[in-house]
Amino acid sequence: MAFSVSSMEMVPYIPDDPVAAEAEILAGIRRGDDAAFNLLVRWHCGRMYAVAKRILRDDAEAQDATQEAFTMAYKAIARFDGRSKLSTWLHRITVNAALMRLRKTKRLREVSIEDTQPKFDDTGHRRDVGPAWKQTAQDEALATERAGKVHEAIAQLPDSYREVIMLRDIQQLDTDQTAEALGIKSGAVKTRLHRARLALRELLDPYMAGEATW
Amino acid sequence: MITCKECIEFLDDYIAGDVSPAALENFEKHLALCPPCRDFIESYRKTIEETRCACSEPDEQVGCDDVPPTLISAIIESRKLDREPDA
Repeated sequence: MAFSVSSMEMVPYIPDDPVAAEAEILAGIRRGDDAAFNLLVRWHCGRMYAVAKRILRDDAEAQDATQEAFTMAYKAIARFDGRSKLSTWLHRITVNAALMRLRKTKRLREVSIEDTQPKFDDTGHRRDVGPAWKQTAQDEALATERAGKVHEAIAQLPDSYREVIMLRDIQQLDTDQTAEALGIKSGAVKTRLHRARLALRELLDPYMAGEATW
Repeated sequence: MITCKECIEFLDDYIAGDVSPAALENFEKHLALCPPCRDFIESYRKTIEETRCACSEPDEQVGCDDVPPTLISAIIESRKLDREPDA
């Protein structure tokens, strides 16, 4: 399909048939059709920008993250295999770009996975038992604050652990799909996922147990 | 009976429902007697739930209406600049 000149307009694009549009746009981008890329931007930019703003809470930073996400997506689009929806794939790339920007702007340090795992004594009992997590309120402001803590925690994970969380817990691929996407064995995915979740739990613990406000 | 360490190592499979009946029985016997592990499991579940919630995809309906027009043009222009030369 050849895209018309009107696709260059900077207005939202909402296709009548998203499945057909996705296939046509992907084919267009892969053969270097500028108009196809423009349509992709006009179709998905709003959702990607909204996600980046939710994570970064700053318009300028969110714009930079969205731009970075499109650059990453363009470079990786040859590897997009259609296993998930294009919008879901773009969402993951955007979350990742925004989290990396968050890590930089908030100067968050990457944690050591070993340091964030539960500690046990010689008899197998936990040495670091703290208070139980409080019930989470449905209040919107608190939910936003809680989401901010989660974003910061994910941003502190080492790349290989963050990737697994992104694919398994956010994109919700299964273990085998994640293993294939990352080029590692299924057993390694399971181990990394468990350790990443334990690390996130540990990072969120002071806030969720009400011991600290961060 | 399994220890807290074994219980936590086993947690991922337990939550995924990927355990044998015998292992499940051992696990649940431990939980019945260990409030800290029960709390830990709840916090582990909550971690997964909060992660999904914090990073969920927005509605399909979200369009470009709130996007600064300069952002769309900046993305398109930067792509042209970044484009690798044909091999």
